[in-house]
Amino acid sequence: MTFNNPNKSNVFIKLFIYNTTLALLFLTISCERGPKEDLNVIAIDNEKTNIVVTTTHIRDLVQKITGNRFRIHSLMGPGVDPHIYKPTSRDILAITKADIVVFHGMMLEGKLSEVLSSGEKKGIFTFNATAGLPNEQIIFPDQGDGNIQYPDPHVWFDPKIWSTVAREFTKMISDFDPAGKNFYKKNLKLFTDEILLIENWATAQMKNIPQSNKKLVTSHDAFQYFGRAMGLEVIALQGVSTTTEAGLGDRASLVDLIKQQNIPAIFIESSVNPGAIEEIAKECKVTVGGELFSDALGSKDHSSVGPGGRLFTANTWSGMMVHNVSTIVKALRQKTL
Amino acid sequence: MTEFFPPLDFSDTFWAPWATQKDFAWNAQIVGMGIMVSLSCGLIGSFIVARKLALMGDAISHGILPGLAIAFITTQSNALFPMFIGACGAGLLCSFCIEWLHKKTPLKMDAALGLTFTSFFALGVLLITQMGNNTHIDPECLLYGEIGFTPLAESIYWGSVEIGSRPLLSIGLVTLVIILTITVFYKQLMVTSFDQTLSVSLGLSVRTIHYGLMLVLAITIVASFESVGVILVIAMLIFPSTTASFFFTRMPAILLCSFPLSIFYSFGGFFLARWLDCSIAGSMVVVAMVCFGIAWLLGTENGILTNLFFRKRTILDHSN
Repeated sequence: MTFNNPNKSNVFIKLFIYNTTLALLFLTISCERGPKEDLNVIAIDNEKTNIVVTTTHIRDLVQKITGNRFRIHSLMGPGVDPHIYKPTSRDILAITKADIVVFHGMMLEGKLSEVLSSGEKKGIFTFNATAGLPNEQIIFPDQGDGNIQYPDPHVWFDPKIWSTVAREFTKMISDFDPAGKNFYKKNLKLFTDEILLIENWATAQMKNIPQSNKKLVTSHDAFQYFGRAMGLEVIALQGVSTTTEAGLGDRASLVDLIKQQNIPAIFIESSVNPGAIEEIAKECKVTVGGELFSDALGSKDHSSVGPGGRLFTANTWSGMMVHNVSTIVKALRQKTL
Repeated sequence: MTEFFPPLDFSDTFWAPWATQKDFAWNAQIVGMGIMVSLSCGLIGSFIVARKLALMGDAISHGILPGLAIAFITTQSNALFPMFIGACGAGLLCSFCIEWLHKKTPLKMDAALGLTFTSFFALGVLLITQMGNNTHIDPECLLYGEIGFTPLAESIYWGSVEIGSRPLLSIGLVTLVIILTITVFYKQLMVTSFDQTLSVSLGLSVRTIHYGLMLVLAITIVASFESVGVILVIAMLIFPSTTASFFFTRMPAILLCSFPLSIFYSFGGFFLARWLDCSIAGSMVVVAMVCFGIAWLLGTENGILTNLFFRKRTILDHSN
């Protein structure tokens, strides 16, 4: 009745290697960090009020409205896919120490959205940025017979909705910190003006694309709001969430569609593996039109020329829109033969 | 290198998590969660490993996917209870199929295991794709928890008194059930694990005990999954008992070792994660791995050094 036997060593070595590999892999993945600038910053500043934000889009919005009145800690860095984000130990610390946690909601952050929704009861003040949106503005993807309707969370691509989100946030933050009310109001005005400017510019740019080319093919279904706002038909390889793989049928019908409709270019996304789209592009002999920012904004080193010849850096909402619009227009304006 | 290993700030790593009452309450819940998951998995894992079924945990964790999908389709919601029942049912069915394939066909155990859980997983993927790409059901989202969020999870109330967060309570309950089961059925579990002929002659039903064990395993896996994620569960089923077996050969000693080991894993992992700023669950497994490495090297029973200096003859005898 002993537990040991002389042959077990071998099995243990195998198990050891298996588990070690898994653990190390997991550790490396979760240790992946954003840009250098965030690395040495101690998450919490006791002097100022701390705001923790989840995605890069929310970070930009909060930054624009509150200026530097608060210390902002962003959980996700540029290029991090919020669907599969895993928090590090310091992220969790930041949440516990935060005075306000602003999150995107609509299940964009997966389990994190769910957990933060109940944060209120735990003495953490959380703000769901998209909770105030009216239902008729939100796109509910067609799901066949299912009774449950999950909203499409990629609302930042619609300039009008994004202004609404900014207004809702300003309302909340003005209640939270009445002393800064006028400051926030002024910033909101600047921000919504900029959104309007970008929207008008983008709509004008879109006119350069011939009507027959107004089709946007991307990796995952993030651009429905963008398409609605800009008058583009959006076709995606994967579903709304990046965690489900594309089926073979989806892939085949996408290839047929690209060939039939003479789509000149298809696009990859900065936070999604480009492999599948590149393969399809090769198969259909169309060009890859460039990289679009979908679920995460870019780094501040990347900028593109927007309305009035101004430069917009890709770590802001405006820069993201300018980059996406110019990339799409440049690739789709060419006449197909 | 300095980017990967930041300098160790002693007070920030070891003292700061317990400095204020709020920090203490929060972090104690995280560490407590780690301890209970490692303990319950470690205890049940000792028997699983002794039965040469170490990867059964991995198999069941994949095998529950169709159960989740069916529960989701039939109830049209991702409510926790139907999901839990579906997952446990599928896990049990998975272990039943493995056993059946092993007994009724010429297949070896590992082949039966690999064959069954991949089929189950594939079936689950198929069902989920059938439901439409746009549903947000994926195990990542529905079932795999994050240990750091334990204190944020919803609380259970007794009337108006808050008892504690739900994942913590459910894993506590599971740990209790496991300790009770092992105490009550200790003799039966031991006999069926090590001497099947004896257990038959004693009139014990090997099958019943096997499936009982599998049911407890499935419940443990599902309950832990939901609160701490997959990696920790599979690792903790295997690490404590294998580490302990380099020092002890008797089952009771190995079972008792799970207690100090799980406490060490949880605190060690927690501090390591704080130091390196990375995932807590991942760090816990790395700590477990280091413990295993040390035990393997220094262990009194078949440890590398012991064998090298004291027991060379024994090893030679075995290999011949």
